[in-house]
Amino acid sequence: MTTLAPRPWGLTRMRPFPETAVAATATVELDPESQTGRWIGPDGLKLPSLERHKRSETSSETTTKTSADGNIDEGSDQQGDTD
Amino acid sequence: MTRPSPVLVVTQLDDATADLVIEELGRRGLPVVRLDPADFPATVTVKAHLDGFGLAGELRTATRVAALDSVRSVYWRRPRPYAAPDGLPEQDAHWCADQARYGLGGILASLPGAHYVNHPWRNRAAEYKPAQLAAAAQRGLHVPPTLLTNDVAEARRFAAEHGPVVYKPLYNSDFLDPQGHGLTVWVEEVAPEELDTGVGQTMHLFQQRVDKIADIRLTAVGSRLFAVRIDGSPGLDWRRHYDDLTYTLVDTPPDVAKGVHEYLAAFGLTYGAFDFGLDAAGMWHWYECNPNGQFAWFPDHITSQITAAIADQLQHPDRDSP
Repeated sequence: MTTLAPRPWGLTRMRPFPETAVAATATVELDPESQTGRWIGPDGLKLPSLERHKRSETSSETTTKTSADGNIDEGSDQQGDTD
Repeated sequence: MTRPSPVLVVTQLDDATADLVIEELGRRGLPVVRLDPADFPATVTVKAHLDGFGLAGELRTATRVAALDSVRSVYWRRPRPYAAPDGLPEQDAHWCADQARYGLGGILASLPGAHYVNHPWRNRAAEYKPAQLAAAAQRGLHVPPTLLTNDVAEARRFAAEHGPVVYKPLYNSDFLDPQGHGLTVWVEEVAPEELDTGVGQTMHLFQQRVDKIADIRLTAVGSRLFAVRIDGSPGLDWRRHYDDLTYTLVDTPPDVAKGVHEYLAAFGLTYGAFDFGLDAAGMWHWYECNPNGQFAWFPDHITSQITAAIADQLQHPDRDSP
């Protein structure tokens, strides 16, 4: 019989992100002249800047917003490999 | 007239915060080379050699070229992980990605004369919470009682003695539920009876909950401090309640400012996003410093000031560097 290892306690605290943080997809391409992202909505039109911030996926779900204690906004390292 | 030397912005394509800084640099007439290291080797080509002063050569992206010995400054934001070409067996691909990390990553961290905001290795060192806590406490910042342990009995004792307490992860990994939706740990109170042997499975951080009336996010850029009081959060963790928040620029008390500057110097950081809890007596309780925290979610009048301060750092590498 296998004994199940106790669940790491910190994982019992995992919760979803707020609904509002999840945004529809947009595609980004590089503007070669300005070196900024060019944001294209699902309708093929350029997104206004406010929408960009809502949609930016520098973290997988929450955009340009931040975190008091964690990596939602964390810096260099959301993907564990940035140095 | 000689063309001014470029600013290298290391980030992924999807980074609206970096876009703001790049736009500001553009308004100032500074050339920018934007690089995502994950595009190496697919669309990025590097030729680096040693001369008497260090690394020389060039880095070529799909749209720009930078001479390695003439980069003015580096804005290190949110690069994607180092990558390998498509179509390789897994072990070969890992090997290639490691070579890219230590090779390209080493070059990007060693550009002669470049001013880093921030240097990626300084960021990495500053991401370790135990080091953060120790550095903050040593610099006179007011850190709540904190316990790091894998001993559940000790965790229970701490909760009984210092409660109410909260739990905070040491590091935020990507974590998905079975449906593939992202999960994270929010700051919430811990009831002592919730603690179980699962605490023994890895390191856990518990901290006394601050009896706060508001939160403060202090964004430091060189010597400039932008402290923003955050009101209106209905719960402990304001990150869950963006739509309810209001933001007010406030002055930083001199003792906090001194501690923050010393903290940045200790880690070799130019930029840092500090979080504090403000209690009814006006005391600032230090929570953490994210060396690469976001700022573009603030109202425009705050974001624009931080953007300009970062552009100043990148434009004038000699001014105010740590």
